[in-house]
Formats: sequence, structure tokens, C-alpha cells
Amino acid sequence: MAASIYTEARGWYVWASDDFNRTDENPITGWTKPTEAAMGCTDCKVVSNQVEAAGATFSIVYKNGTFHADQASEIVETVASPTFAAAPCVRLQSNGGYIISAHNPTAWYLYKYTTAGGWKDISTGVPSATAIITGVHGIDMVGTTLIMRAADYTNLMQATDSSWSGGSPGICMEASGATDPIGDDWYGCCDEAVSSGAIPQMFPWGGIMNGVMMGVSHAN
Amino acid sequence: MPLRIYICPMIGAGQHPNTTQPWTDATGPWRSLMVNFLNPSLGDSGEGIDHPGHNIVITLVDASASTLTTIEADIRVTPVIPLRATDRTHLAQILATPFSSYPLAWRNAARAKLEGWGINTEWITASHTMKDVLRQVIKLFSIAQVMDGAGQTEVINFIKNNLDSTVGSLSAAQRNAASSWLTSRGVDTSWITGTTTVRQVVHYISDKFPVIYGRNVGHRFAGEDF
Repeated sequence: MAASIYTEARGWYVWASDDFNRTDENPITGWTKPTEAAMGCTDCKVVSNQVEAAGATFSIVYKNGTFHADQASEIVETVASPTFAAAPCVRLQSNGGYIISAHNPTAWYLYKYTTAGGWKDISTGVPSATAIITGVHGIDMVGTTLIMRAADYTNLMQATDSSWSGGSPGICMEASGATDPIGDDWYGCCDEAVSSGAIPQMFPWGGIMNGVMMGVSHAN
Repeated sequence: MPLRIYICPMIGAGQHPNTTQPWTDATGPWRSLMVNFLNPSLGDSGEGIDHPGHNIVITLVDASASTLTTIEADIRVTPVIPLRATDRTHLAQILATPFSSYPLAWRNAARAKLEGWGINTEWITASHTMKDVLRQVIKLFSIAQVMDGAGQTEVINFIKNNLDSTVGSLSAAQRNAASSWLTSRGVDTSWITGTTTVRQVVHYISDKFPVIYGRNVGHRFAGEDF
């Protein structure tokens, strides 16, 4: 398979993507790690045409480019971990953003980081996910509403937050050094540079359009 | 299941999520106290937005009656609507009801609580609904979050002051930071003088939420548009 890191207009949508099909890299290229030390981030790396954590803690990177504030991010978890997950992120920047994290096979958290406030779980109640399973994990954020979805597009948790209004979509690969998750085929929406600033009307794998939940596959 | 809106403290300490679990109320990342009560596997759910200055969170809880009873037994939790809604339709009715129609004792207690968290309630008249009141709460929480994301600690400290404090009595660091940041977000501050109260400023910037947030968006919260 030919390597691809690109943006493309797909109907109304403009997606950035990375299939990680390239020579092994550590750290990953085309992505940026938040630099604020207190976030405790390490880089991600490309191994065998897939992405995984490069360190033994949060490995968080965001896609290079300029993105619209309304964002979606999704990644396919190809190898599951008993502890963590390959998780998508939105509105990431050098000093914060929103990430999904999982701390055991059934509990997901939705975190934000700000310099002043540190790490904060903004989900209300630990949602009961099926498990950390292989497949698509997605998150979208429109305005101040974040929604995290499982592989079957069910709404795992929702939060309302205003701290971040810019930044880029990204990924969070957590690692413990044991059996760690591996991810592949990342998609992020939307690249403002290509879409000329047009506000996305909905997200293909199940987002919000005028407050109405959409539930169609990204293959559509 | 019944629903009710509460304000409760955030627990934790802003630590990295990899901090060894189990977390106590004093350790781990900041998180809503509601996390201690809600059991999603039983169908409990919640939707909240926090105020990073006061470390409190307003949450719509949709949970079993027994869960609500447990929540309401915790003295750290304050109900901000006077009764439990039986369903979403009833919740909408409660939110559409004038604040003044609820018992005076409850209103006075609610006002005192809100004012203690830096939320101005003096503007409320007989015609304002419960939703009108909560809209100000949600806007203020949102703006505090925008300040938090922008790293504006002194501006957050500004709005945390007693509402009846005058701007002239505050530290120069807070005054200058607030003036500079609000101006940078396109908010007119020329009307603010040394005798202007924090209450007046807080209410003014709540009304400027679309300007401060940078987009003309309303909040979708508790299944309602605010």
C-alpha cells in the first residue's frame, strides 16, 4: 500500500489523514507533540506501518496544519491493550487540548489540560464502555460540545467545555511497557487551509448537524 | 429516570491521569464529585460544565431516584433547581417557569449560594425564568474556561472576588490583566472605573460571551439551548 499523509476534499468535508505506511520513525513526522512539560507527553512513533507510543506514559501528538475549530478525530485500534487505548484527540496545541484516555478495559475518561488548571476529567461519571476493543475510536467537537464514540458509533460520553477553541486534531497512545495499544488509519477533520474556512456541516462517522445526531459510516 | 441540576465541587488536584489509582477526593486529575455517585452501568448519566476558578461544576444528572437521594445527602452538593424533574418534558417545564414562582426561602438560599460563587443574581426580576438564571451561570462558567485556556490566571482571580468589591480595591495585577485580556478579545472596557463593582463587570462579560468565545454560539446543555 502506498504511503499517504494528505488532505482531501471528500464531499463537504476536508480530511487530514495518516495511514502510517512508511519507514519506521521515532519520533513520528508530520505531527507535533505538546511542549508544556506539565502535560507529561512523549512522542509517538511509527512501527511496521502503524502508530504506537514512544514512551511509557501519554504519547500525544497533533497533526501539523491549520484546522477549523469544529473538529473530528478518529483512529483505528488494531491491537488492543488490557490497560490503555489508541485514542483520538481534538483541539490539541502546545499547552493543552482535549484527549480521550482509558485506564482499564472498561472505563474511558475525557480529559482536558490547561496550564492553570492542570489535568481535568470533564466527563461526568465514568462511562461504561463495552471494552477497549479494536476498531474505530472517535471524538468530535462542535462549538462547546464534545462527544466520544466507540467503534459502533455509540455515544460513550459527552461533555461541555469552552477552554479551547483552536488547535488541531490528534492522537493519544498510552503505554505501560506491557501490551500496549497500536493504532492505524487516522483521519482528522477539518483542514481550514483547504476548506477555505467553511464550517463543516456534519461529521461523516457520526457527528452533529444543527444539534441532530448523525449516525452514518465514514464510508458514506 | 428523574433529572435534577446540581452544583458541586470538583475533586482531585489536577494531577496527571497516570497518577497511581485509586484516586482520593484530594488526588488525581480534577473531576466532578458526581463521578463518585453516578453509575453508568445502571443507566446513570450526567452532563456538566465546570468553573475553573471556583473549581465547581454545574451538572444535569439523569439517574435513578436512589442515586439522586445519595447525591442530595452529600452536603457538598447544591441543587440548583428546586425539585426533581420526572422526565425531560418536566425538566423543560421547570426551566421555563419564572424563578419568582418558587418559594422565597428556596430562592433566597439559591441566590446566596450563587452569589458566594461569584454569580450575580441581583438582575433577576419576576419575569425571568429558571433558564434565564442558569444561562448566566453557564455563560460565566464558559468564560472562566476561556480564561483558563488562555492561561489568564489573574483574570480568573479578578472574577473570583467578592461581587461587591470595587475594581479600584483590587490588585493592579488583576485590574491590568482583566483590562488587557478583555480588550484583546474585543470587549469594551472604557466604561469601567475604580468604583465599578466586580458584579457589574462579571454581568457585563457574561453578556459578551459570543464576543469572548470568538463565535456566535449558544450552549446546548441539559438537552436545552441556553
